[in-house]
Amino acid sequence: METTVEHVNKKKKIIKRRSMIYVGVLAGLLIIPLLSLNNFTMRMVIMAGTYMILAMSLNLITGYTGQLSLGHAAFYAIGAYTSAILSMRFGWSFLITAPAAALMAALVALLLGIPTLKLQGAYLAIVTLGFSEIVRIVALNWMGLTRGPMGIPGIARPEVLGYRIASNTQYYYLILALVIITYMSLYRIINSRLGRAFIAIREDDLAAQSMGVDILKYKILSFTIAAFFAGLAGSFYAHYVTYIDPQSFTFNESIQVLSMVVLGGMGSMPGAIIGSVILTWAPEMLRFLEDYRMIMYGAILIVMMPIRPQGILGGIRFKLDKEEENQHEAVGSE
Amino acid sequence: MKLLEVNNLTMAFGGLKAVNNISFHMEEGEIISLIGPNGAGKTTFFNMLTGIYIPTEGSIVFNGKNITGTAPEKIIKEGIARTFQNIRLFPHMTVLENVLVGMHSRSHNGLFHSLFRTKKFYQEEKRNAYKAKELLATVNLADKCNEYAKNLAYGQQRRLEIVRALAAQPKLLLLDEPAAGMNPQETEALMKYIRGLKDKGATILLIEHDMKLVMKISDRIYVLDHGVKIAEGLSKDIQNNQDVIEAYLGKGA
Amino acid sequence: MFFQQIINGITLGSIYALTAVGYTMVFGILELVNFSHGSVYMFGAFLCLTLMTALGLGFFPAFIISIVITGMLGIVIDRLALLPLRRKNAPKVASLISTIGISIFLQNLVMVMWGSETKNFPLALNLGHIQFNSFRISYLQMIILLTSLILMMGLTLLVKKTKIGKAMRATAQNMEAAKLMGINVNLIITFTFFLGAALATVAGVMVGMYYQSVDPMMGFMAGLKAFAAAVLGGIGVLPGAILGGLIIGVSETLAAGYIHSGYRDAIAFAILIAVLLIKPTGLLGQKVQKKV
Repeated sequence: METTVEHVNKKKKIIKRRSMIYVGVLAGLLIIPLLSLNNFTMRMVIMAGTYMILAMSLNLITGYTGQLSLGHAAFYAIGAYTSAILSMRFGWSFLITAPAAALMAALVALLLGIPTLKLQGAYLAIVTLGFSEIVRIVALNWMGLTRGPMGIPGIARPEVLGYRIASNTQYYYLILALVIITYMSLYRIINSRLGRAFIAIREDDLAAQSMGVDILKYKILSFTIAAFFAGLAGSFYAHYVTYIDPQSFTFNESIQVLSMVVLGGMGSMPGAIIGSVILTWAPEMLRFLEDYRMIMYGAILIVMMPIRPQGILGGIRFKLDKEEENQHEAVGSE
Repeated sequence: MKLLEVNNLTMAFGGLKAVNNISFHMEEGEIISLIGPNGAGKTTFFNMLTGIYIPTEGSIVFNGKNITGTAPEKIIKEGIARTFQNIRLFPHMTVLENVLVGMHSRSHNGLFHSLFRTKKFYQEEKRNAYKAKELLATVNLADKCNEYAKNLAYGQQRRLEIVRALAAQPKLLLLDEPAAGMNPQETEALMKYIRGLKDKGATILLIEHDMKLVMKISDRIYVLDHGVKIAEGLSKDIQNNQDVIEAYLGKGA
Repeated sequence: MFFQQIINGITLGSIYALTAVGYTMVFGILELVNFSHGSVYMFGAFLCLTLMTALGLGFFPAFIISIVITGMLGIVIDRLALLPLRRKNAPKVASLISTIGISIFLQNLVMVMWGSETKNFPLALNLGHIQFNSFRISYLQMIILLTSLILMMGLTLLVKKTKIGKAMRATAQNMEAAKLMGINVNLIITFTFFLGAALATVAGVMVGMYYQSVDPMMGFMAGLKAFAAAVLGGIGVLPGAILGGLIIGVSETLAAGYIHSGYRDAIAFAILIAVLLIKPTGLLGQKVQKKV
């Protein structure tokens, strides 16, 4: 056993190193717009940010809690439409529509989750898939609310604290803030009693239940939180593209996000981020293949999986995470 | 004082009565063993005590409260924790995290405290981590805290599972074949450990096949065969009981 | 009107059932949702069409050849994309993503080869119809129903009575034990994929004839609904797939006729969700006792 002084020093050192890493990463992210990237590249970066929120949130329910959801696009859609409609009808600003959109998505997830999260595996998968198709079809047919296939054009650009967001650089900083909020919230949830309960359910639901984890309650909680952030991403998307229609929220969108999670590594937050970046860029990088682009995309998915079935970062515990544990330990033996 | 009282418990799967009309009781501070050949209904009995199966008939009274049919996640709050015959740890969680999940029913941090990292959050996390490490030290696993559970040796996994159950501070601990697959040295150490728990006031119900272990540490023994209780009593009575010998060795033995 | 809807629904449902069988068999054995199945169904229909138009084959030779080739495609999918994952004991969801990759691959391959527009499917068997008082049945519908019925009965007999059927059931029950009993599990899986793809081709070609058109996206919604049908009936249970297919086919036809045609696809899923809420393992699925 080490002495208390050594512990405190070690702890301080760890915290210092961690903050340095965070500051470094943040500084790197902040200067991206200063690199005078072209508009197209900036748009890709911003979309990658949107997908990061979607992938990180799906990762919570599918990667960490182990419940396969094939309908994440539904909550993305609900967020986008809630935001668009509130903004168009009532002229509400982004700072109100975004939380409202996220809460709406969470509420719907809660109502869907209570009766359906008892289901497992393929059954849950098809229910989430079916639900997301229902959402899309309703959006396509409820002309009075969503204008159906014509979509909703001219959604107001966000105004944050009296500051109008219009240029790509400004949107970049907005999505960066949202990604950081999402990352921090999910990180804190995962590294807590809640997160341990989620992971325990994934690992062995019966053992988790025997240890006092109310499985249904925690699955619903995880699903609801995941939907909350998907709704947030939807809200951003609506105010960024300023036009939404049901075509943006198909089953393919859910699959796209799921592929990001699986490719990056289920149950890994950095994995979800890397997966989002790769799969947002891949179709663009393959653009030179012209018509053969999507064939190649499919082939890449097929080839990647056997090479690393657990995903790029799956099963890897990051040094940062480990240090947090050591910190626990140090604190624990004080 | 009677801690556990089981009356006429029956569990039928279709026509098959895996457990048939068993009555049973435990005093506080006792170590009781449940023995019998494979398929005698011992684990089924555990599963009813822990709410995994809902008994077809009969009642379970624990600590003066009828807990028949209570859900597993609530049973542990009443004070019954268990291990599993075929080790059920959380393989991709660290040893420390496994024990922390064991403390789930005794801790409170919810969404708000986790998200905002309140003072209460850190207090509880610190307290739990400290307790978990103390518990792990009692089974020589303190240095394995950050190891994934799946990377532990077999005997270590068995010990971790016991500690995970103890983390819930149960009034009654159910151990399902804790010595299975252990070598004689490990079994010896386990026996000492269980004795130590008893000295600290624990009440333990044990399913075990290792007769040496059973005879040495049990206060009383119940014997099941084909779902029926065929004998109960002190170790030496059981050893000489004709029905028990027949159940294990067959008729005419 | 009502009877007409029911007849149209049963016709559609029997096609879903043929496709659903492929999902249910693969799931029964590998516990994998094979998302490439819808694309295989589409591929079979396109192949048959091409053999007829480009090579000038008659309908029956084209039909048979496309069944065999698409069946082989099923085998190739398993060998190339799924077997390596099984060998590595990869998580189920990795295989699922692989089948999604196959689906994207096939769909776009067909688009590049044949173009993305809807293609006319020649009416190979124009036989007219029988008119009743208030409804009519075309001979094509009767052929579809009869073909589905015969195939389903054949399949049931195959699974129940033959040696390979017994091996399939054993593999579905417990793959490890089946291996130990000397069953060539990989051969069984290969056979299952062949069978699933072949039946999907029959379904795809019949749909092509029924609507007289095919397009590269046709497998998408049909695949989802066939999957829904398999789950509705109880995934892994053969009669369940048939029952599920018929229920989905009839209910969506009725919904389109009496409620709103725009909501036709939503109704199928709504019914599925409603059934699962009442019976979480599907209509004919068995509840499995938790093993502790």
